[in-house]
Amino acid sequence: MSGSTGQQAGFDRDKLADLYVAHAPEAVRLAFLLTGDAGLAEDLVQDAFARLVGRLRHLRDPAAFGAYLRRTIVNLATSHFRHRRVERTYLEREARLPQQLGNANEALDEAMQAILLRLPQRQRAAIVLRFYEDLSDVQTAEILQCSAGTVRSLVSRAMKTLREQLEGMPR
Amino acid sequence: MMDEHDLREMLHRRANALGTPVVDARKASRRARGRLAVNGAVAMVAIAVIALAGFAGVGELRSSWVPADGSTPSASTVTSPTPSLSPRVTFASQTYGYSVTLPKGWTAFQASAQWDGKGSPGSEDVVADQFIGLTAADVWAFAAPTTKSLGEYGRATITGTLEDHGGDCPARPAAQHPIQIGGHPGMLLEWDCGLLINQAVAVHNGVGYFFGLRDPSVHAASDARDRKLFLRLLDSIQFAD
Repeated sequence: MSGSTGQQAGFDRDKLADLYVAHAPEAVRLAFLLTGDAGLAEDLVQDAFARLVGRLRHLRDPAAFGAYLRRTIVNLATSHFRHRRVERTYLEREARLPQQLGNANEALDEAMQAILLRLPQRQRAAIVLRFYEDLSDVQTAEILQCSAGTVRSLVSRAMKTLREQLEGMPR
Repeated sequence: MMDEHDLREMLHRRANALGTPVVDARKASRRARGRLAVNGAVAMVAIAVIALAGFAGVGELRSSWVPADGSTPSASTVTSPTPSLSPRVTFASQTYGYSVTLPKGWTAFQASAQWDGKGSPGSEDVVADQFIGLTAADVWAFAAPTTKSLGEYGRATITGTLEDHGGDCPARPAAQHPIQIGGHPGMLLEWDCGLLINQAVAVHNGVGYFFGLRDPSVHAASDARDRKLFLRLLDSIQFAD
């Protein structure tokens, strides 16, 4: 019993390391778009892996690991901002337009990301999952644990806000 | 006017601006193993406390839980530092003080922050103790001091749910039932929020407790298998005195 347990634990450690190397870079990018903070993004991804490690042996479909990871990262990002009560301050800081703008594209990108970071968390997550991860409405709904109709509504509201707030920006 | 293409391009440019993130698999592995070890240690402490309480005749703390596979429960089998390898695990919440007996194969995660009594945190929230089983369903729990009665606490739970999940959940739960949670009166709220959400609440010694079961594989407010599982978990709850 203890022998098989040790083998299982060793297997899981190896498997975790492999999965981390394979998934972490893209996961950090996703977390960065959700939080706007590279350091926090890496921290969230490590926390997500720590939470998922207990599930590894129960994962019926290993190909689903990426979906589990995305869902956990989205939830952890939501949780982080809601309960550490730093979102408003942090996002206000991040949302300040740059004092010295580089080229117009860079300025527009920064403005878009600033507005993105001011969106309600679920709208932001819907936008990032749909347009960065290129997930379908149904796949996004599975991660956000809502209906596909709700995803379409979240995206629609987010796009409306983005358009309104970007109006007048030089293109 | 900005369109979806512009947005897609911007997201990829911002993400690519990070370069290739340096990933440290060893650090992540250490962190994951540390998390499991902490949860395992807490489980072992809980077993020790329960064993001592039993010897001292403090009370009958052992639950009548029978694992889903029908095997005979045995507290002596819970010795592994890795909870999910244990046939049975009694989880003692470090943050909220209650304990619950989990069936074979379940893994528990301690909350890493305390709930402030507001809103309706989800299962992977930092304020929630989380329990992951072998099916699609998972369970979570949190608590906070309250001066409310059970009825008032149930209504506040509904309000908090609508505040946080009003976009997905209907205006009221599909059903409400009186239940027992650890031998104390409680209330079960059944929701269809695009997936099954069952909430159980109780008020004990001035503390309001919340236990939730979420099953993304069920698009209904109730499911016989989930309900049976949830009620058996709730029956094994021991509240802090």
